[in-house]
Amino acid sequence: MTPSADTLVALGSAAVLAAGLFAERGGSAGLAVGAVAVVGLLARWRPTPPLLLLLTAYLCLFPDGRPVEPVGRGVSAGVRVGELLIAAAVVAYTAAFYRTLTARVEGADDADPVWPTVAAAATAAVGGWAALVVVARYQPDYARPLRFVRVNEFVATPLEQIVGRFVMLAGLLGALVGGAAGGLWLLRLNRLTPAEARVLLVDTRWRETRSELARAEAWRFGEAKPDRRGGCGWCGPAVLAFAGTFGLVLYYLTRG
Amino acid sequence: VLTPRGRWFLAAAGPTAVGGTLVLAGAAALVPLLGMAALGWFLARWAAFAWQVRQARGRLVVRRELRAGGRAVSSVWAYSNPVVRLTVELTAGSLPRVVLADRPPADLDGVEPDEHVGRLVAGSPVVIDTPVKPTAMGVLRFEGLAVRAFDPCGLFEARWFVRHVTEVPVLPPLLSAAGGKQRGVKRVNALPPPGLYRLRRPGGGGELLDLRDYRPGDPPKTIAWKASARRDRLITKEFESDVPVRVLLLLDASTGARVGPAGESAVARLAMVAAGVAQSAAAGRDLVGLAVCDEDGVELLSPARTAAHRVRVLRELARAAARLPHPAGVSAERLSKPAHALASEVYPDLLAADLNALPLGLFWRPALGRRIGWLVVGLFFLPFVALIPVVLERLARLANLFAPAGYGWAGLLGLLLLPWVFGGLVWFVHGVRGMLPPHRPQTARRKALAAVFAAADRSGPAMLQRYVEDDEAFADRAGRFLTAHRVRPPLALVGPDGEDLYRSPGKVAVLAGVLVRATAVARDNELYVIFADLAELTADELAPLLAAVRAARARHHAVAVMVPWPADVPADLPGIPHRVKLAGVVRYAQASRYHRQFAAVRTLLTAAGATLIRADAGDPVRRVLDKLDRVRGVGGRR
Repeated sequence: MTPSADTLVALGSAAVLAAGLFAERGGSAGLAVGAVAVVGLLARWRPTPPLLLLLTAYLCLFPDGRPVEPVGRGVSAGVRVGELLIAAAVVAYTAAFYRTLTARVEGADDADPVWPTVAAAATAAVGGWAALVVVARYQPDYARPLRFVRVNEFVATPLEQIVGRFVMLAGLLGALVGGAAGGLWLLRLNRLTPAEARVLLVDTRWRETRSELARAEAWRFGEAKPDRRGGCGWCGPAVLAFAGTFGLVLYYLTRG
Repeated sequence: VLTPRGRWFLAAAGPTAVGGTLVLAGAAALVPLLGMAALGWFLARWAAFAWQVRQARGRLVVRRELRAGGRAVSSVWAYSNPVVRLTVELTAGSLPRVVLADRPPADLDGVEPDEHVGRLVAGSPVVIDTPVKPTAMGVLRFEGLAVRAFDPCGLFEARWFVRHVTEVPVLPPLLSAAGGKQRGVKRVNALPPPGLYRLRRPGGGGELLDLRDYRPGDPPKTIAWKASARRDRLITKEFESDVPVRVLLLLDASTGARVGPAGESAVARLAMVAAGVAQSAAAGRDLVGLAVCDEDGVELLSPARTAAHRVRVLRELARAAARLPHPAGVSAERLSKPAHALASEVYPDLLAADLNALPLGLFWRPALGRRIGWLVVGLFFLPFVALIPVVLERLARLANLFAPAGYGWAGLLGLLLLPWVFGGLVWFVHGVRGMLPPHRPQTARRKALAAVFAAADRSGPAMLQRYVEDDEAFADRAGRFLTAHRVRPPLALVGPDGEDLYRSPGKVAVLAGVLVRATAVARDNELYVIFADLAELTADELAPLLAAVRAARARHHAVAVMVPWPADVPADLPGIPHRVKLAGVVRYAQASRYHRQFAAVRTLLTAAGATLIRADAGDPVRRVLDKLDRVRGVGGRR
């Protein structure tokens, strides 16, 4: 059976990943990750990409496998090509692996070119690094909103740095996801079908006048159907029992 | 939405990116870099896929045609094997992975629609062929195309439905035999020959009518040579006329006759027999008319005998056979489940949360305006009873009993506030119950459907609120929604007091009215065939129809009544069962009761001059036609 282009991309990505880890973190890490990637691809095991991502992250942090002393360099030390290659290889492997699964299940053709997968992985790695730099090196100027200042690692405490990164990351993700969602919603509003537009209009009008409409319905029913949506079967007897018991207790305790 | 694959990947990439960035960015940047790259790629794929789907949704063009015998047709015959061909085309753009499936009609079993799985590109239409085999006359309703789109990696999925409604009548199978074997007699005739009925007027028929003297111009072949020789002058034979008759078919399509599985309801069986009668009469060159009656009125096709009219009659019969019963006495909750399931399948875009909102306040059950509200109000005003000095004194004594020394005022305050606390608790518990199952899903289903109904009817937000509040209005609209989409609604056959909800006595007046009107305008001897489920009606309820039958018979019209026999009642009453279970005894009692009622109806109709024909569940149409043929020939022999 001739391997598809996506299979070759996945195998190539696994090789780059293994080589990158070998160069950055040593032989055992590269060997383990490469073995998992190849076996997962051959076995068509669906959880392989998330597992590979987590395994790569763990072995980047603890190359010998024992969670004792983390290894690595901070963002301030700059980026190395090997690290970018590792990140791009993980993304390329994920994309190619999932595409091989989809093509196998749905019998799709292999007409898709290879270069978009590779380009997307490279862009994701570079973009991820850029985002990481923005989040880690800058923090909001709380005194002057919407301005950012560079983090002074010698002055800021670790907790302050984490809070600053959290605010920056939340803002970045919120801006990206919120912007995309808002844009898509505007596009949806622009492309509503007549039926969808009618539902939207009637629903909006209903939400704005719901309390008045509910009151009008209650008046319309009046005494004819006072409990049309079902009543509370136990509340009334419970309250009456409470009042009766309380009255008796009050009477007997205070009669003297 | 995310597929399971997408959820797992997000579950790995999200914590790696967020946790790594927050904790490890200063020490080991490779970990957050991995997470950020994976998360960024994931978000980019989501945005690209969402954009692609948004663009493509309005650009799908669907065409459907039914093909039989290699050509497109507008109706199909029962028991034939037509193919539904669906052509799907994208006018611009592309979708990388789609699964397209035609939604089969709800009342057509055993259909496995062919699916298209793969890429959809503009300019390359996809053809989906689905073979169907309708086994009963009626209507096939195709709702549209179900679309599932995936991104190339299978991380995201979008589902929508392209509505493209097509209703195709299923006509009854054609009968090969010609008209009836028995020939009736007409006293008067206003219709042009030929036909199968014998009219005792000189004409071009086959039966000898009389002999008379030869007149110049008579054809030589009509000369009776033996009689001429005996009388020594030329004698000519005169023949009877063979003339047609008008046949009016009165079909009972009332709600009661529509109850039953697809193709096995009383109206479906009667329509199938009526179609056979119509074809048989048309083969004898009779003029055939049709009156489809229910409780609300009648749809009439005047008698005619063209080929186009015959097809029109068959189409009307197919439409009548496809009618579904309107659910009566069924709770709103019971109807909302199938209605919501149908809407989720056919109108998923209108149920989307961004259009059809479910505000949190919708689920709160207000106490005021209900019985429980009076208790809450009563508890609110209860502390004011302490304004009565005796009550206040006793409360103060009670407080002093329990409160520590010197804190009697606090105890008294607590006692005074206790009803408010309890009332508030009752109010809160009552209200919050609406946010919990089973109330919450019920309310959500109902509101979502109410918005769809109000928008479809263009009736505005007041009607939406009414559907949310009013059980009867909602149940009525949900029942109409289901029947309009040809989904059999759940039925309650028996009312709360044990009464039969589907007897439909109102149809008798409509049938009688049609018969009286037809008799009033008839200038000819006509044949009226009533296809109606009358067995369970009383003599009083049948009185209008009996009077109409008598009037028709008095004017020398023939009347036949065809009553369907239920499939679950034995045709011959067995003996009283011995040593059987209670269910068997009940079934025997029901069958016995039905036999008695049928006999009573037969007696009444026969006394009025009509002929009752029983159409058993297993009877083929040909056998019923033979029974009717004997009715047609009554009094016809000389």
